[in-house]
Amino acid sequence: MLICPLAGSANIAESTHYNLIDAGTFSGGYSSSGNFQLNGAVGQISIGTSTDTSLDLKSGLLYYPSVTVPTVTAVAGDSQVALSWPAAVGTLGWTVGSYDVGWSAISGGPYNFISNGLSLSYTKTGLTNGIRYYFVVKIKDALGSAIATTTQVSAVPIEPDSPGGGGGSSGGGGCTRKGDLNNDCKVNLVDFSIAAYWYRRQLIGAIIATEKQKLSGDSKIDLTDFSLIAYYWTG
Amino acid sequence: MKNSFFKLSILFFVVWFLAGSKGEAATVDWQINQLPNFNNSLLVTLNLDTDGQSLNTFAGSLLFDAHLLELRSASDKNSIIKLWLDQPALKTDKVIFSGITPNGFAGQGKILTLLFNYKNGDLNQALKSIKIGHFQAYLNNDQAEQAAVKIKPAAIVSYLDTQVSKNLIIDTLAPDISDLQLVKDPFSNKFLLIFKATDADSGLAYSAIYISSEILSSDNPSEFNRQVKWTKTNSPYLLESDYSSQQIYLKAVDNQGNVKIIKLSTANRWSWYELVCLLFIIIVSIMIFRRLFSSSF
Repeated sequence: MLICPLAGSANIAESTHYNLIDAGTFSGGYSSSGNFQLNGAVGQISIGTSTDTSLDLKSGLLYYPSVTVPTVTAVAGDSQVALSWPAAVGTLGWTVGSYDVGWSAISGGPYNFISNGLSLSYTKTGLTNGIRYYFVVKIKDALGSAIATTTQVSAVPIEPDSPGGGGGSSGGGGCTRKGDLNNDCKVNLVDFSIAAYWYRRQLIGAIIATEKQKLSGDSKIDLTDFSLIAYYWTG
Repeated sequence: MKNSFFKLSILFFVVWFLAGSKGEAATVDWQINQLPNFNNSLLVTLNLDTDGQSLNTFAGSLLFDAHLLELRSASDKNSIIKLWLDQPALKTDKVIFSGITPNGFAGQGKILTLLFNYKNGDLNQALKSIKIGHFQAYLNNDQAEQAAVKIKPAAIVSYLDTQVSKNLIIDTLAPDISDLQLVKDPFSNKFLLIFKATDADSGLAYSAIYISSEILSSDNPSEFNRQVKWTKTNSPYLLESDYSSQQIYLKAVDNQGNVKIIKLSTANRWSWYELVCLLFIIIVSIMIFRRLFSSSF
């Protein structure tokens, strides 16, 4: 039974049988036991809100420690994807200690994680061109416990442009060619027509959904994109 | 003093060389013809010299005074542009066009021909009012770089009589509809109907689509005269819903009113011989059952 206020992560206060009489500082999601009971303050206290002399205990949502969750940017390259993100900022006692980068070929994971320290960028190499990879960044506190995970982003590594012939396949990952909007390994009238449809939709305010990297990558369809289609035309 | 003169001479030659040298630039060379046998008609032809470069994407506009001139038709016959993004057409007060040439074009060739009628007024004023608004071309490379383009002043040629110009005005051939494809749009997951409507002589005026459960004969255009609501469209056309039980008709009309209609048989209907065959099977089945039934009792 734990009866004293506890400052630390919930990993320390994890048991299948204990009663937590007084609250400790721990974040949501750590208490995975199906049997323990939490008595006392409902909210968690944070560093600086209680002292030894006053035992001033404040609880409630306002005193939950929190951390900002950055947005990850993924840029595809040849057999690699470069990730970057702004720093996560902790409040009320939470200090960001490190980031773990996770990747998977399946949307939603499971991800393979690698520790990235406090660096705000990571380039995942050795990927197969033409396959979509999914990435998340896990934010960990000073004690090494995960406190937040970013929204998943994805990217398709692309091989260097090669006009004209060639299947473009690499390691069995299919083919990737600029302008091949319907992924049939050809750039032809179909791709021109799809681009023309979205070009006209764009003129009336509709926005192309995704797959920007298959055109010039500037999030709009203009004459440069049609120039690329014409250049990579395989008929 | 002698040294200064020498330096100035070198500087002069460097400046002269830089000013005199020029990079590659495509040239739009265009001319206006009066047609002798067809009064009040002007033919405007846009040609392009790529100056040795390979170009693959083109866009431009042509301005004119709508009080003095009326666009009668636009022809892409023998054009270096093989796929139109914007088929040459009048939009607000100018003719705009854009399109691509897969794998690029290098050399000299025609972009398009426009036929105008000049209304009442001064012909010279009408001629002067025709101007190229803008012209863009892109290099056929993986960078999609815009090419440098020079636009020459128009050459006004009187009384040119060619078969081409006659065909623009006397055109009895129907347009052509080809390259029909139904493909799934990867972004919307709906189906796009792709087609190519062209007219070699007077030029395509418009194309249109009609979707209905009604079965009409595309060989008999008069069937379509009654209460058929055509929707003007360009390729591609987005099929908003499931058309598996519908008939899709496509129409192309040229600038002389010649019409081509084709039917895409998407509806899964029984043909007459299939119905006869089905009837035969039913009759035989009934006979067999009757015989079995009567013999068992």
